[in-house]
Amino acid sequence: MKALDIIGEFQQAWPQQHFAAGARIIAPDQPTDRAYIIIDGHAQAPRRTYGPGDLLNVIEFLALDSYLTPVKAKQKLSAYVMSREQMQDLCMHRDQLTWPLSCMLAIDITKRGISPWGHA
Amino acid sequence: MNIIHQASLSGDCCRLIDGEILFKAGQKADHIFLVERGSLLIVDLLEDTPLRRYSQNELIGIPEVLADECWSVSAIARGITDIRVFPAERVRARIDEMDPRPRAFISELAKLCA
Repeated sequence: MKALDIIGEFQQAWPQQHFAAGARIIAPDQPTDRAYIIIDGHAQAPRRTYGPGDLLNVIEFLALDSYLTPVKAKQKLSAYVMSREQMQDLCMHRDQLTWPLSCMLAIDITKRGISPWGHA
Repeated sequence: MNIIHQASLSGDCCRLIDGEILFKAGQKADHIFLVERGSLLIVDLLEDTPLRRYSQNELIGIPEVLADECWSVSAIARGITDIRVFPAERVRARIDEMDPRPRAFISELAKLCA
């Protein structure tokens, strides 16, 4: 799921984090208090690969308190890392409906037991 | 005009009693529903199988409304259940008003449910 469009012109302002190849970006049970959006490089989850612009584990981030799926850097990788509150503010800056609707849809996807791996 | 349509026009809550059916598979998804109290059980009536449950502050129907689909499942109230009803046209119009970027994000999420 591409998310760079959501942060749009604000992206330069967000803190970046760099990961070495093979480094863990997201661990299972890690609180979903940080969003990771890839700038450069690729990341690997058990059932999918993420590339530039992708928000990692988007459904888990929006719907759950903790991540479920581990993600590692497939190669040297840079990502924007923002807090849940920053992501929420950014979404709501464009439209007040974006954040609550995104979270409700993600909860719905989780309830339906649909794997986002094949789609996102 | 049924009670759901009436509630959607007035912006009112619709109160269901335990076991009351909110919508049935095959009906046009022309409203979305916000559970304000109680819960809704989503079931496959043909298979008599409960699929999932929606509770307070959870929303049902955006993917179906955006895709202009019919319900593939049915919803039954569990306990006294208050539902806020929003007409599909109003939901679609509100989403159409959004900035194109968040709108695209919402649409992508909704497609994951389809």
